Amino acid sequence: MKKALKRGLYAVLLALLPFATGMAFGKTWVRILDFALLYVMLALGLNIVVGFAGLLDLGYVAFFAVGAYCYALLASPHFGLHLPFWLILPIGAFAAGIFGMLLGAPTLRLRGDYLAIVTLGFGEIIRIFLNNLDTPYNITGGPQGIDMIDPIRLGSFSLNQPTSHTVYSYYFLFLFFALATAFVSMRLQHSRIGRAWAAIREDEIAAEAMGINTRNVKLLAFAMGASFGGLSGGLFAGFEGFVSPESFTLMESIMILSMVVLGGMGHIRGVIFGAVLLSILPEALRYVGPIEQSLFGKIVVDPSSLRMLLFGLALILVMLLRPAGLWPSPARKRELLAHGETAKHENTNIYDAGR
Amino acid sequence: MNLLEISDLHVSYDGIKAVKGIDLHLEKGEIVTLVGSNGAGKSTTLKAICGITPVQSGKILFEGRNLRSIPPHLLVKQGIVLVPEGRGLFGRSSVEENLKMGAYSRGDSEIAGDLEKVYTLFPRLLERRIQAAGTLSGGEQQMVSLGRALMSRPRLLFLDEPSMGLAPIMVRKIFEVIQTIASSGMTVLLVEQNARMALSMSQRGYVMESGKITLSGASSSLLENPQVRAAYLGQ
Repeated sequence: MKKALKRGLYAVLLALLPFATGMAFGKTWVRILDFALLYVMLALGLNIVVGFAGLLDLGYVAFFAVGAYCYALLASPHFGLHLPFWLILPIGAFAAGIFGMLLGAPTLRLRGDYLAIVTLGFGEIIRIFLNNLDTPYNITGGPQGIDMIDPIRLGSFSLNQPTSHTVYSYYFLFLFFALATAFVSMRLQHSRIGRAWAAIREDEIAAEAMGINTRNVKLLAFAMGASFGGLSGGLFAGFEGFVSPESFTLMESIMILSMVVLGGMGHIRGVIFGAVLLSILPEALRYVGPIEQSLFGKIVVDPSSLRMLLFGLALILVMLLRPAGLWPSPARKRELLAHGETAKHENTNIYDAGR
Repeated sequence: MNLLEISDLHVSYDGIKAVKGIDLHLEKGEIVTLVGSNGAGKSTTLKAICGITPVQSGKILFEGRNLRSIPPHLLVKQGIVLVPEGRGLFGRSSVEENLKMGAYSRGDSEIAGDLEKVYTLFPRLLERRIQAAGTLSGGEQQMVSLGRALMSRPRLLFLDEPSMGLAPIMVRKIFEVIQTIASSGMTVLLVEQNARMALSMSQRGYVMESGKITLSGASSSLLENPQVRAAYLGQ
């Protein structure tokens, strides 16, 4: 009963949030909320690969791109195709999943730094392909990208009509998908597959000795993580109405990885928190300018350059002060900062080998 | 029929021959020791049997079936479990989570009962149940590794250097447990550098030197063998 009440309260809060934000800070901030939700989906997807299976992926944005371009190609005047979104989103997620396996298959034997380098290369390859696939046949539109992408329509209702309500309707669509990905992540974590991921993260040979097919389980992690990315890519394309290779740079991959690490690798709530925080913080830091104005009477340092400096500083501080992330999972907390019941256990009778 | 029958096994790493045609067999219910110095090819032999290291040539038969065609992750279902050198624990997971992972390939309802049995065998692990396995002492970690292997209900257990890096008192304890396990009918192949301890608790033994088996026979006779005494027992 109490749990239901708590859930109801969260639901009401989440439903009212965009309107309150819109009234207090204006539509720009509702749009930022929309993007925060997209980043939540991306971070949860990357969390499967990095947090659950322990495979460092620096090219994750490639799957976001695959999903976005899938949507753009299948629902825009570019090829004259106008498929409905409920058909394209699964296609995009599936295509991204295939790309995930394509990346996973050759890297099965790689770990850590080596894997990171290959995935980084993969992310760049996808971006460069998108940039150059306009000749000899114009497939991706090259650096210009693809525009006039169809908005997402529920039946005959377009989420872009009337224009002034766009950010609100997309908020609820994204909220639905973000909650769905969070739910799927949670179920995955405590499933047989989730335990297999945890096992290969910690010791691959032992995992194999326990009867885990490490090859398939790793490929599955890549594919699942990628399909989450593809899904949010599709939503992104429908929301923006425009895609170009510029949106899918290495910086984006690093940003998503920061969300996962900063929030608390492998901990779903932490990852969501990290994603929301890191997508809002750079925007909030735009207000440094007005603050400087009021403090010193003039703008001392250009806020646009100060913004990323402060952002970087914040990341460093968090990693120094909270190495396990802002909201770490119980297991990781146990590893890095033992206290309470566990610490008591660890400190008792360590040296009496005789028993 | 022997439980495990290996004939003319050859293994090499990038052209360097690590195992040069060995024959070895295990009968059901036996404890057999494979002793030898560093680099003799003992661990390689185990890894090759388990399919972790590719085999160059030779036959490996388990209950008459060819093991070489079975991928390593399916060996557990056949009843073969390897306790790897260096224990191979899931360091961040708790002791209990580690033990439960041992039952990953099982779908029966007796897992909880088996967990109780492991805790009876190692009361120490019950005390340390919620602790991360990586924070345990070496001996306790070896207990987790052994316990986890038992959770898979093996019929054939490979132990790779279970005494490595442990205090003498822990070594004795671990060997006691291995003996208890074996007395329940499990077949054990023990790879050890601690030759005296291993030979004194096993029925038969093989001595391996630079990739070949140079001596084999009843453990008691190996313990008396002047060559073995000179090379491995320091006498």
